[in-house]
Amino acid sequence: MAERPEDVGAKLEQELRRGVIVLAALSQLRTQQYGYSLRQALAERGLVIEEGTLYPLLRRLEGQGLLASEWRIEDGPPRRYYTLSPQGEAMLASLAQSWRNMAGIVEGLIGEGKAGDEQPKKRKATP
Amino acid sequence: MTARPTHETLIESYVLDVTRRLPRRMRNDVAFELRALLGESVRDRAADASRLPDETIALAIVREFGQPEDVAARYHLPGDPIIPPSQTNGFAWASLIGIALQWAGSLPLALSGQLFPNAPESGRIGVWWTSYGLGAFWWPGFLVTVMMAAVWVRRTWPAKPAAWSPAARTDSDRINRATHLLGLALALIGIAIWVLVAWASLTFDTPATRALAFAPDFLATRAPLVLLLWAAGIALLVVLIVEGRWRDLTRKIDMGIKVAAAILLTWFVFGGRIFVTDAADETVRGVLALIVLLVLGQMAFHAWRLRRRIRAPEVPQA
Repeated sequence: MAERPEDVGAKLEQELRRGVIVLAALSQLRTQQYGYSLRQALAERGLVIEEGTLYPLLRRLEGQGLLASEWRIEDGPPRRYYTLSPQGEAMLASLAQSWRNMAGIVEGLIGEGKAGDEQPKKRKATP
Repeated sequence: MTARPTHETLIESYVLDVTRRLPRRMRNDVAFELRALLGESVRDRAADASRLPDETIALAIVREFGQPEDVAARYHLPGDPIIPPSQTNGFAWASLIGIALQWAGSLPLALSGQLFPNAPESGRIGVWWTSYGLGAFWWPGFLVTVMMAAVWVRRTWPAKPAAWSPAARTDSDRINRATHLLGLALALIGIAIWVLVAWASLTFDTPATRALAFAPDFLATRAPLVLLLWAAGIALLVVLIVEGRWRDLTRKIDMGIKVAAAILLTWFVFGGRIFVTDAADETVRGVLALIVLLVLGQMAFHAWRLRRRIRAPEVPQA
């Protein structure tokens, strides 16, 4: 049975976001953040990431050596604060460059599609 | 002592459900962090709704967080699975075929009473199931163990990814002349032995020739047909060796010879005595039955290899 179009759309969007989340998280960890504060920081900039995705991601990035973490107490219970490791900083620079290249290319491709869509309309308008 | 609020108990229960699926060394650390983070979410959401944190809010938050097994899976680094996705189908087929073969071999023997002669007829299937039936499941376990060993080898001695290269022989029509010459020699030797045995049994009267004497009925009716089959097989081999490759016609002739051989040998097996003595007759008919199976298997394999691997899609005519 074929998937419903809205399910397909949700899955494709999820895949699209999955690639972006790492870069977004790394970009906000130039300064120390704990899980909840990082989520809030991203949400304030318009990128809402589910907690169930973000918190495990932080652990995985730490496991890959891209983040360093420590337990600290600041006006509340002990919290685990994460920040970029030197390897993470290099990775962020590299991923950011790749992102800019890809975004430019994809934007161009999408733009071509739009231009193509407009041509038949113009033809229709011509007597 | 004051009882803990129920929403905290709920969160703790959820967190423990997640972390029990994680490696032991990281369980407590993740549990402590996750409990604090979820607690903060519950407090914030309750504050946004101008109410006190409660079980309803906590339940909504942990449900949004995800099923514990899914969340636990997200904590793991992408690893080397024991059964890679590309091999899942192969593993399933290998497991099913292995189990089916064991059952096919043991069930008829069990039902006929050969495996469990002391078991009552009505109880044979039960005895079979608790022994050979369930025992056949060792096979998937063995396959998994082999794959685990393969993962360990890959992790210990990671192989350098090699560039893809085509198979040594991409021209499936080309034949290996040396092996076909060897096949021709073996076929001629086999024919010579059969002819020699037939001639000796008709010419000499010794215990050995009596033991290998052909049944007169076999020699009169069925045996001459084998000469035609041999002649066709030898001629085909000679043509292949000379031409050095298969053609459509030679493939069809080969398939025809194999079909004829399977029919003829089946007739030999079930059409009456071949040898006069019981021992020689039973042995040779058993061997011939095995050859029939091999020929059928070879035909199936050839048919599988000859099928078109890449087929053109059905394009509607304009």
